[in-house]
Amino acid sequence: MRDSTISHKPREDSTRRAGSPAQDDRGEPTPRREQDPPPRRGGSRRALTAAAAVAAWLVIWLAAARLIGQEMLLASPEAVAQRLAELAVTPGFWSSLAFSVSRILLGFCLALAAGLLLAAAAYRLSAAAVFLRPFMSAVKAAPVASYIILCLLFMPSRGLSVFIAFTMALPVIYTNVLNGLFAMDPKLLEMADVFGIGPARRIVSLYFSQLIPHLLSACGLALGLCWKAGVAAEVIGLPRGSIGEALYQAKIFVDTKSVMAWTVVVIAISFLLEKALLGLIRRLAALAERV
Amino acid sequence: MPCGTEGIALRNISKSYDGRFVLRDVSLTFAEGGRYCLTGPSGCGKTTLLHIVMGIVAPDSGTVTGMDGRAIAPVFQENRLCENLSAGTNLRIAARGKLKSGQAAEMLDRLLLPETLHKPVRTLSGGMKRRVAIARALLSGGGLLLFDEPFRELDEGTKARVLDEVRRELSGKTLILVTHDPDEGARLGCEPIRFPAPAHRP
Repeated sequence: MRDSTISHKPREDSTRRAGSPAQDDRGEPTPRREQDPPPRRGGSRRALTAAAAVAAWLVIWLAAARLIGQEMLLASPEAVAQRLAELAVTPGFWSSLAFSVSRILLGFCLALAAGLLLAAAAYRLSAAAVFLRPFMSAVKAAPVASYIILCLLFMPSRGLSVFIAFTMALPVIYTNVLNGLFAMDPKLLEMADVFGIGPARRIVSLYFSQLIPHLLSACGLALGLCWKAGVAAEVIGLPRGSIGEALYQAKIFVDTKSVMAWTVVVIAISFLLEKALLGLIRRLAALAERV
Repeated sequence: MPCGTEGIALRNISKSYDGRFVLRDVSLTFAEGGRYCLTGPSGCGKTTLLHIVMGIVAPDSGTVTGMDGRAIAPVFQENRLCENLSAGTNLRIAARGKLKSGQAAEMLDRLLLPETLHKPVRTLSGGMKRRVAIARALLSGGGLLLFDEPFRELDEGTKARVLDEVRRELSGKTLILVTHDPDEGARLGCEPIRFPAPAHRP
């Protein structure tokens, strides 16, 4: 049956299709030199710039401390560094660190899992999106102190930072992932249908690869929020052996050096965890590409 | 009876957008293993017809038979590549079976440059992306090639090379090619099917 039978009646109506895909009139392939993305600034140069900025702020801090001249009001960088060195050799320092980091990270990981699942459910079922919208809006809008006080009524203070970190991170992750899902190119999904790409490969290669930018931004933001809210919850709930409790004790004794030393620790841990987490997501993305 | 041995039959297909007919009462039969080239002016419904065969556009009326279980190897009018993924991954995810070792690299080697295999698609030029889209279709394992203006971003030299590659991969497969250049169809040994210009409402 080689011959094709063709019957194409003449059309009376205009047949110009409305909304047909736009034509892309790009011309010849560009030379290789022009295709490559612009070279990124060298890593060492970026690190130097960042170190210079940190050094500038240390100088400002030092000058302010010298100007005020009272360690109780504003401790100098060297006094804080000395206090930090003293704290680091005490066993309580590391156990407090482990206590707070483990709980806040647990809250974050639970929020990440729940945010991904709920966003997937809301993407598939509009009823789920409608149902979740007021909850997520309320969680985002309510002050963290209200949650902390409410939670203390029905749960032990040791688990408080887990719950607070979860509550802070959930709406951020949910919203970003859902936005990412809705921003996905429907033509790629159509392409997957025509090629008959299976669900596992579709999730790993299509959805995950397109969600990465949204996930990176959500995780960076949510982890920072988790830390701030988690430590604040510990300061209010005072679970024994936490960073929050140590901060509170330092405040009671007007030990400004310790307060600032613990604050430096919180900032450093937050920075390192964010870097590690974003690195992990990028590695997972690279791994997913090889699967 | 193996799927699609009797070819693909479109019967009395009509499709309109906003009350304007793009296709009206079109009937076509594409024989198994045949090569067809749909030509005609812009807006005459070539792409719509291809989308109806692909199953991503539903006709207002008419039937398409012979598509059950058929593996399609499409080249869309747009590239529809995952821009964040490498060219090699784009080829791999669309492949129905596991690609043989080096198969993707060999194909890209013939169509592009070997190093493009590991480059994110977003860093490639328009013409290179087009060739990745063509390579993806050729390596997908589909027996029905539905190509919508596949060569439009390629210069003459590159087009000749890509046409050779497509011709090499055509054995035993059915090809429906949409193009504005009948010469492309002739070089692939296609039977021309000319779509009439869209008629205006009286």
